[in-house]
Amino acid sequence: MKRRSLLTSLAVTGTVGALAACSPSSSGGGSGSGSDGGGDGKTLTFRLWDETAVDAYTESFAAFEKESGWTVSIDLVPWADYWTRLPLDVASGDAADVYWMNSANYVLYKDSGDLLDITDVVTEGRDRWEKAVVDLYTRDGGLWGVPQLWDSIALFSNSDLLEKAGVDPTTLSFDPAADSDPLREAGRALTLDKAGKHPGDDGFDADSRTQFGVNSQADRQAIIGPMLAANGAQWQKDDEYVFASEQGIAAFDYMQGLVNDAQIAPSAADTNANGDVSRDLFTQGKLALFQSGPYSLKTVFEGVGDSFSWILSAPVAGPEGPKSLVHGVVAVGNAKADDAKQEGIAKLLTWLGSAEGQKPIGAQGVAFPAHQDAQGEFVDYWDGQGVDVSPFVEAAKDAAEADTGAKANAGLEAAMPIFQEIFIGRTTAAEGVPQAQEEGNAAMA
Amino acid sequence: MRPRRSLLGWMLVAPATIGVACFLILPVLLALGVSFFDWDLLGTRDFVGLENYRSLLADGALLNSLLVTAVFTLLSVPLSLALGLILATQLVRALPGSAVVRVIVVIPWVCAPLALGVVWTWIFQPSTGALNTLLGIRVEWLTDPTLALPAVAFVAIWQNVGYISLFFQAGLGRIPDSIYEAARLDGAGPFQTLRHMTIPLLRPTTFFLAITQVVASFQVFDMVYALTGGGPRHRTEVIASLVYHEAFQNSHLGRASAVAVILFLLLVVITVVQQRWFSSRITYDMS
Repeated sequence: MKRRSLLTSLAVTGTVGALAACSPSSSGGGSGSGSDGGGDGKTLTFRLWDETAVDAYTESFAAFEKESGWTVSIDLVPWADYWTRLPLDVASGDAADVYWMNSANYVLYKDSGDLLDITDVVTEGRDRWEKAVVDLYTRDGGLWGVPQLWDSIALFSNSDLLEKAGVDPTTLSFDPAADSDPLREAGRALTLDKAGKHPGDDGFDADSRTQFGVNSQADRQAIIGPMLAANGAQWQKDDEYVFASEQGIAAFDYMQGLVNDAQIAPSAADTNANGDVSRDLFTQGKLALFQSGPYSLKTVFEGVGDSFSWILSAPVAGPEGPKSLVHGVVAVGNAKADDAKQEGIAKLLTWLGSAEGQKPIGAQGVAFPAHQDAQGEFVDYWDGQGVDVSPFVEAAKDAAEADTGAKANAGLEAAMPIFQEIFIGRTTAAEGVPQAQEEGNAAMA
Repeated sequence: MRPRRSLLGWMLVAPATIGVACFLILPVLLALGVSFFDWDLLGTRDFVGLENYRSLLADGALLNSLLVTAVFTLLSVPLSLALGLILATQLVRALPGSAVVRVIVVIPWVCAPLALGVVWTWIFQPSTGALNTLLGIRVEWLTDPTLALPAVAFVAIWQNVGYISLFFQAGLGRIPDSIYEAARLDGAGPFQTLRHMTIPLLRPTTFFLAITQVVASFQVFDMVYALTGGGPRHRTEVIASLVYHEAFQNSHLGRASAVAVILFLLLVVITVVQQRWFSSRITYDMS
């Protein structure tokens, strides 16, 4: 290990050592690491955070090995540890040769020269990659990752409950400027307390609700992003938040109103503490409309089973129509890996960017592959399960911007607690949204 | 003979000394050095002198975390010690079932704090949580700013009481029965015996537990992280959470190091004060 790497490791150990030392539960959380994996000169390491994708990549790498002669060792680091371990490993020179990256984090690594520019590495087939993902990772004239998978947002509907209430999910829309709208009306019809009363009925008891209309919570990807965009609000401009516009404040006021005024969404006291409450309520048949992404598909499919029928449709439309947020995951190349491995890294990135390389991701139902020619595999997988996932594909065509920037995570971490206060009703949108923007921008500065 | 014995001594302590120097002293010194730099871990390091300390004091985050940690310590440590002592006095009586209870109360301490935090978030869930269902009320334990820290302290107490009682049981076992017999003959009741005999005789144990529990509560992190993530609005952001946020969410390794250095100095001061306070009290020799 180089002297700088050793000092870096020790310095970081000193700073965070208190955390590790004080905690008897601290653990490695991964399965091997670093670019040293393998031992011989023809082995590469690949790191990811999603356990469900491991089998798909194992299948993909088996084919890659036959074609290239390079073997790939997979290093799974759970999401909870991923962004803590990655900067330490990168700084100390122990990063994997190729690893997963998201849009909120890549700029930091790109700016420090740790990532390969993909335009220099993969020369063919880039036009078949999902454009929304390519746009997310294009910066300063370079492309900083090979698109792997993406997700957008759609509306999961409990068909049984909707049919009973006479609600058509494809006609749902919202308008913060109006006194009421189809979403609020549908939500009211779908929300019931223990006595079978709806919000607004005499004697309705919100604390004893047994069925909820729709989810509205401090979820940047599934709720805040789509609702703000659908109301015409912009999230960020370059690396600065601009969401505290008139439309942005109105959208936040509307979202909290679904929880606190209309009382058709689960309490923010529940959803702030556990973001999965809405998904769990939906799978239990207690939430009629659940706006979420493909990442909820497997849990919902397995959780619901045969207990009720459900379908997917476009996200709830606002004055600007239905809007989704598209997130994409890329595989980045380690620019500081050994020279002897750079040829293998280029080959692996090229393979990961091909339709053949990505097909197992779709065929195993993990996520939408970013290569357009492989996306049919994912659609076919869910067709086989009786689920039409085409609303996700449609939603991705006119997507709102996802978070990006060198310190996008820090910005969101600063803003999110204030959003939670708005959703719980302790802070008004007019007061909290500008404050969240200010604190978020200060954290990103 | 003396130089040879001295050399042997140095050889025997060398592995431990090297370990402490490499993995404790050197990292602490490097962390001290890093606290004078602006560094995101990946880019270049810019020397900023005392700016990290100045900015920490100016923006209120450090003060808030110190206050939160101090309140957490005041809520959790005295209660943990008191409950641990009460529990120990009952368990040493060897009543039927004591052996089983002794094992049960230690289980939370053996469990990973992170896992316990996750389990307690389910228990504290306002609408569907076990606690509110049991009480028949709807309390927002972890999202109400006034209740969140006491709720976190409660979980910490629940986790530590069994562990603390183990030490008190060991301490109680060392007090000769003859002393209690003499007290009984002199007409002392159970409360008087506890106040004037048991507690003073347990002072060394109490001293050890007080120091380790205060240090542990100033370092608490993973359980709080799982329960509240520092929220609502930083009301449970203990000082170790601040180190984590600065280092890994804000990518300010210099500021994180500055917080860690301040935490280190604070613990040194607290330990010295505790040591002085306890050493000024009488400790009875029971040998």
